[in-house]
Amino acid sequence: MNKTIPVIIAILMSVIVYSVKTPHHDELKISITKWIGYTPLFYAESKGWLHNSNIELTYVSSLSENMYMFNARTATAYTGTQFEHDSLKPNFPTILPVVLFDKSYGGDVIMSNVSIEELRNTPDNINLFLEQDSVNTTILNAFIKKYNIPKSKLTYHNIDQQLSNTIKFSKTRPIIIVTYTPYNIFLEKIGFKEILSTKTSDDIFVVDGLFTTQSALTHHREQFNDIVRYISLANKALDANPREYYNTIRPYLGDVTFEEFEESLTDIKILNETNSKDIVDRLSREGMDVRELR
Amino acid sequence: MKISIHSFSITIITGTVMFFTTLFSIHYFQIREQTAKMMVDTLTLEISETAYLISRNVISNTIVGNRSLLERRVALNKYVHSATLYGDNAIIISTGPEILCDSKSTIVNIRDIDGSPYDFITNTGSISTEVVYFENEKRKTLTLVYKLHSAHIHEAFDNNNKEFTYLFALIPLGVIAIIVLLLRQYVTQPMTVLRKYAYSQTSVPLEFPIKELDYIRTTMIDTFTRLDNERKELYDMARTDSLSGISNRYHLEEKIIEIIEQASRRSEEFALVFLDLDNFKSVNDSLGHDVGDILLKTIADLLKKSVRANDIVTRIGGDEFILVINDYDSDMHLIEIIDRIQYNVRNTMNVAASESNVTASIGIAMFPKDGEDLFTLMKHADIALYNSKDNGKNKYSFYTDIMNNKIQKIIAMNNDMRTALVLNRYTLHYQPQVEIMTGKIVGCEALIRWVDPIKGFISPDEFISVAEQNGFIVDLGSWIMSTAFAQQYEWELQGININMSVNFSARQILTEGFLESLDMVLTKYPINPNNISIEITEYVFLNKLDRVHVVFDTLKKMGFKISLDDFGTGYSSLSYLKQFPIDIIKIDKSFIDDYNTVDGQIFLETIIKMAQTLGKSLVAEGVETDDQLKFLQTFQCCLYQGWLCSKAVPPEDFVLLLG
Repeated sequence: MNKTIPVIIAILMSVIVYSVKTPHHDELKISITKWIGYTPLFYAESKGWLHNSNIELTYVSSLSENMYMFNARTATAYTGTQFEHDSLKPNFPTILPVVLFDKSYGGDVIMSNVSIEELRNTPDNINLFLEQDSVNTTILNAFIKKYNIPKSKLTYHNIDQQLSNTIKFSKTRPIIIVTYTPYNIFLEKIGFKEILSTKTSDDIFVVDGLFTTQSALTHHREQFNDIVRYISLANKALDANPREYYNTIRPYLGDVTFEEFEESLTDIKILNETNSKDIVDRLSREGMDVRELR
Repeated sequence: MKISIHSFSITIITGTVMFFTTLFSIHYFQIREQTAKMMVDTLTLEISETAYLISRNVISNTIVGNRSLLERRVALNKYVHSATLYGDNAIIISTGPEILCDSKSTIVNIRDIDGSPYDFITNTGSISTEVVYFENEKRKTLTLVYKLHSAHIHEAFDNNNKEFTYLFALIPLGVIAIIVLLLRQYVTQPMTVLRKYAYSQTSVPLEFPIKELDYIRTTMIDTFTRLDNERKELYDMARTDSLSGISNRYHLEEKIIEIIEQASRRSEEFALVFLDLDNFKSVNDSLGHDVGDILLKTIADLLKKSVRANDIVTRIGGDEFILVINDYDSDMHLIEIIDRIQYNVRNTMNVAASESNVTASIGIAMFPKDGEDLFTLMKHADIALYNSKDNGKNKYSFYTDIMNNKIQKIIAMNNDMRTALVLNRYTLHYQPQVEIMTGKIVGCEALIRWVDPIKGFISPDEFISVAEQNGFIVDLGSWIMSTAFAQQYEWELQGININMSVNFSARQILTEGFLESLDMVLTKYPINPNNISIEITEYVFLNKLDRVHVVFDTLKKMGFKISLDDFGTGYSSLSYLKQFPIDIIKIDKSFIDDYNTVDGQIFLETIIKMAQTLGKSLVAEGVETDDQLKFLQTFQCCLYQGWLCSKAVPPEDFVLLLG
């Protein structure tokens, strides 16, 4: 009888503790777009690595939607550029980058059906298509500043990049489209030409990273560490066997061939485990908390 | 620490229910939080998505066009009461006019949602998010507010609460109550009944519906019944004499207390009768113990039948019985009962085809006159019994103080006798035996004399009977034999050849080793056995006749004569004279004393002529007068002894008488 009661109590307590036990990791939800620089996460998800770490990717059509998701706390982290970081920072003072995916090197482009000269000189209103609530605006402002294109001539069309395939080519009306890889591929096919990109202009500095708040980083530290490791593994896989890498992430890219995929990779500089000091310093100067990047 | 089944069951059940209630509560609160989180996530997703759609659809003059979107959103989500789009602190679109009155302090931006989802969803009035749109290059912000439908939200949780309370509180309580009642009805109460039955065994419990308990019940009934029977059996056995089937001493000791109390209360008397079978040992030895046991049982039955049902008959051991007779009308009635008892004992049916000749000596002590407790009554009854024995047995005596004194004397006598032997205070005197016709002393009888330095001369009548009763006669007889033979040897050496009669008790004769001791004495004193008459009484024929034959035949072979003392007064029958080698018949003094009566003369003549016919020598004892002598002389009877010639005298005086 003396041993029975402690055993019973131990069993009961175990049952109660088990009942109230919380999962080892809360789910880490990341809001993400189908940007070429974010393919390491697609690769990690396809391989099941993210599932093992209880990380879920939520796909949205635009970078600004990422901000909405993050703002609604539907996503604990998001993929984006400095633009989204700067937009969210007033409401999320502790927002910071956890890891950098890539620096845009031609991935962010301005396309048009006419030349820059023609744009400067046209008397007509220029239809401007861009995601206004994204880094597209930053790139546009840099462009019109550089080439003195008056804003008054611009007719803004705020669209998601996924809808960029709805833009009709015009031979008569000048059009400017601010976009990014791989959406530019379709536009090229219908006749638009790149007039400026992050490759051709040093004034345009776009870096893609994974952003979250300090508290979320602390809470999901292990999972974020896993993400950094998965990104590294994915990048190594890409280096080792691009075809295999492409085949793995192909469902995420839509109608993009291997050659087009390889071409898209030339539009970014992948930032590996050791981030460029220059890039990190520049981000720091721009007001970003870069502790996790050093 | 011990607790009842009832308490234990309630504790276990309550503990189990509390445990599961705790578990369910934890689960319930988890579910509630999860449900609330789902609600919050859904609402934040929806408001975020709505804000995003609006931000994509807004052109400054078409903001209002989003009303249908808002209305559809509100209609599809029952937890949203209404939706409002603010811009520049003014309402642009609202699906519910009452939102206009709401204070914006209850509005929580979805990015600020923190803490318990349940607390948030039940305590928050509205949630909001920004709608960002561009007018050309200008970034503009609107605020989208969802007023939460708190009634529906609370109702959803209240329903859960009710279900939980019903399922995990009321129903379990009801189940507990039912289980407790059932346990009480079918377990606890029956066990209480069993406990009471185990304690008192007064009322036998009825059948229980629970099989295991009913097994216990039937087992207990069987066990207690068996124990009860065994107890009664043991009780009876403890109070019953195993041989006779009547009560034993223990029962007597129990019952006598009641009888004494009752008699004291009613100022009544009762008789405690101590009954001892006479010569029972002889019967046992001669006929065997089996026969003796049958005799005892027969006697016990007889005694039971001789008294009334409420009288007590007990066997306290051996051949001793105690009767407590308390239902008699008078002393005469009591005496009649005692007479009847003795009569019945005397007339016992033949036992083992042999006449047992059993009689009973009885001692009677009366309550309260002779004692007021069992011990005193028994002691006094025993004294009275002893008196009966002493007076010839087959008698009854009542206890008196005189008897008590007599017994005390006998006890003292017993001790003095043994001391006298050790201190050599006995002597043998010799009484001449005279030829009736010649007057010549031709023999003598050795008679023991005892002179105590304090008490003086003690008559053989006083101590011989005591010695016979307590067995001292064997030692005394050995001394007599040794002393007499020594004296005879001395006389033979002196040339005095006369016949000497030496008395031997029946007990001594029949003792194992008697012949050997006789032979030893004869060896020590090599007298002529032909001059010794072994004088025995008729008691020798009472039992062990086979042994008597052996002894008598051996004595005869050794050359001794056998003399039958006190002929006609004891247990002799003519068949003994035929069976056994009796040489001399000694006519008892009582017959000589009656010589002058007709009957006395007839008896004397008969005995003398019988003896003469049988060729036996005769010695008439106790001749004290010439007339007696003359009478005897008419028959030409052989020898006499008595005071007419001389009393018993010391050996040196006897030699002078031979003179």
